[in-house]
Amino acid sequence: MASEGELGRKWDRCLADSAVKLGAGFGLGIVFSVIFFKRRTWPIAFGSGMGLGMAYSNCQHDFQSPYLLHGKFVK
Amino acid sequence: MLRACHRAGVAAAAQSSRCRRAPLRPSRLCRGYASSSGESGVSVGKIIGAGVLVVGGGVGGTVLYASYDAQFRESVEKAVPYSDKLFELALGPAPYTVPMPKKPTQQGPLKISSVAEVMKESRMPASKSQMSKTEAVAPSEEKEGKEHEGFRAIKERSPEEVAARLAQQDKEEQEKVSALAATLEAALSSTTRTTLQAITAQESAVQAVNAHSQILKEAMDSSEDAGEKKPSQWRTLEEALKDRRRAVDEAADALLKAKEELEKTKGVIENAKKSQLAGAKPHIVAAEENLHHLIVDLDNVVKKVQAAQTEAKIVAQYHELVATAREEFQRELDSITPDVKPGWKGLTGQLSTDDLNSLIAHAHRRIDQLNKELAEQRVREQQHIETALEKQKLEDKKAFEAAVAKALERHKSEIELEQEKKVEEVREVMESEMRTQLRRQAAAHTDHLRDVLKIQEQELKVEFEQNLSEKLSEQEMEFRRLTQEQLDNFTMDINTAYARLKGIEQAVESHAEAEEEARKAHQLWLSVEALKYCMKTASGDSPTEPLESAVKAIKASCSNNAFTDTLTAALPQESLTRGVYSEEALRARFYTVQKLAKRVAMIDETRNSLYQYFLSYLQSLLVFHPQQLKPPTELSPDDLDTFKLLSYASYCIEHGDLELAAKFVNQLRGESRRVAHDWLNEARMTLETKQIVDILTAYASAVGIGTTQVQ
Repeated sequence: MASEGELGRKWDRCLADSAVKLGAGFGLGIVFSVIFFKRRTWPIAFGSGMGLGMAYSNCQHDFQSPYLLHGKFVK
Repeated sequence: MLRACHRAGVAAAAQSSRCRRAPLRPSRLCRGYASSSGESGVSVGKIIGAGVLVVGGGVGGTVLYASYDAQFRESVEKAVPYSDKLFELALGPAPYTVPMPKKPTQQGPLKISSVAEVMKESRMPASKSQMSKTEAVAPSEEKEGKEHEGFRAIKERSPEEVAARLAQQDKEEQEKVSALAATLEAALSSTTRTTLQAITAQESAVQAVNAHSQILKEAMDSSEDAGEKKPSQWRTLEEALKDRRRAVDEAADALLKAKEELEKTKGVIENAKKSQLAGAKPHIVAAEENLHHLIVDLDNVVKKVQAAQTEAKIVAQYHELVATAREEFQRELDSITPDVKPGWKGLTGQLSTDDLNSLIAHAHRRIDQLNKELAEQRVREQQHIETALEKQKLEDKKAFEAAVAKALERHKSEIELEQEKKVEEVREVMESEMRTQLRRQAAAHTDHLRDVLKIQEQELKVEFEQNLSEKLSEQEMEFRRLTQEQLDNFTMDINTAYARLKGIEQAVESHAEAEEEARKAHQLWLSVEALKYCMKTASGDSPTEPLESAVKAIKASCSNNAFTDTLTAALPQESLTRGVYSEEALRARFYTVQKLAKRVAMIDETRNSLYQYFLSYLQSLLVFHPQQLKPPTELSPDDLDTFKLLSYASYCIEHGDLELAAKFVNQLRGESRRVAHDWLNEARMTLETKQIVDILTAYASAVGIGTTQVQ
């Protein structure tokens, strides 16, 4: 609950999330490569890259979240 | 959208203007119709106007004429209902017509003042003879007299006296009247008696005279009859004559008596008239009438008697003449034939021829004489008749004059009686009228007197009341003054006593207060010490105990002290419920915070991507700042660097100045600030609490010093 622990928690979430996403991407890549792409490596790289990218994006969003401004378009 | 509104407004305006223009057309059309059918509409109006004019003229004329003629007004009022209201409105009330029925109503209110009238009359006792009327008023007047007592002046006699006097006068008058009436009655009765007696006597006299004359006639007629009847006849004649004489004498006596009585009665009536008693008037009038009648009857009867007497006289004269003639004849016969006896019828055989011849000669001579006398008489017949007629005329005239005089007298007396009666009536009417007028006057006088007396009474009452109120107010003021004096004295004493008491009380109270204050101060001190001790209970990283109980104790110890109340209220809620961290805990925590803050020194709103995070971390690794920097007295803008600030803060922390450290940490911006946010809050709370506790301590010490009595 302490504010100094906030970052730490964020980092934890980030890492967990990236691990999950990476793994999921990797797995999906494998699956796809096995099923659709004749065991090529690029879907795995693609999948893991996608997973990593998603994780990175999530992580960044999480870190940016205090500074994000949500505005409403008033007509 | 505004344009849309404006457009809508314009449309509405156009619509309204269109609507306004619309009704003008129908009115123009109507006017057109009106102008086209002008004549019929105007003529209707004309007819109506004419009708109104006629009606108004009729009404106005009626009203005008009614103002001139009251009878017309009355008749119209009778005929037309509610016209009287209209007339009243226009002309005022109807003119006053003398209403007869008003008199009885006026009699009513006058009845009360008849008392005054009566009493007024009593003041002039002798003058008016309305006393007879007051007989009825006297009993009622006694009651009213008592009512009006208060109103009468002092000069008048009291009503009871007046009433008594009136009653007495009434009685006297009544007595007089009754006496008079009695005398009149007595006189009248005696007169009537005597008159009747006289009348009967006269009647009997007349009868006697007639009888006597009748008998005489018979006697004379039957003088040639046999002599036996003669003496009886003469005797009856003598008796009749005696009777007649007696009757006539009696009649004359009775007449005298009656005349005396009549004279007496007349005298009595005159006296009664002179006495002027109203009640006796009718009696007098009746008596006069009776008297008159009696006189008339008496005169008639006397006349009868006189007629009878004259007749009797004639008969007597005739009888005398016859008797003298017979005597002469007898004498002659005697002279001629002396020896012939009077009863010569039986002497026819005794008479000689000479006697017979002398008798016949005498008879012849007598016859000649008589013839001569007769001739003479016939010659002087006319003269005799004339003289007789003249005599008769004279006598007749005298008799006529006498009769006329008598009739005149009678008539005069009758007329006088009538006049007296009329005078009486008129007098009565006049008297009654005068009575009413007097009554009215008396009533007016009473009313005036009543009003004046009322006003006087009121004035006097006012004056007396004023006097009384003045005296009362004086007395009251006197009384008030005395009471006020007493009260003032008493108040003064009370005040002095009270003041002393107050002084004593105040001294005692102030003592008690001082003691109380001292106690309170002690209490406060103790509670503040408890709070301070509570502050020290922080151990390691855990905060202190919740300060609530200590604060409650403080509040209880000095509940009505605004200062402490404010202070205790100013304590942050967290400190009460959760407690605060100690300085050491915060100091320890600061280091972690510092480290973290250094790591995210570059992150703020603009730079907050993950790459920036990496860079910032790299920066923190590469930047070497002294761990602690002494903060300058004034901060310059380039002192606001994160690292510097953190160095200053750590220096302050190391030197125990949490406040300054918190101030420096407060200057952090961006992510560093967010990281240090909680720490800053805790530091702030701790600082606040510490500050309040210090103040409370100071206050408690001050209070304690203040209440300590220097011995």
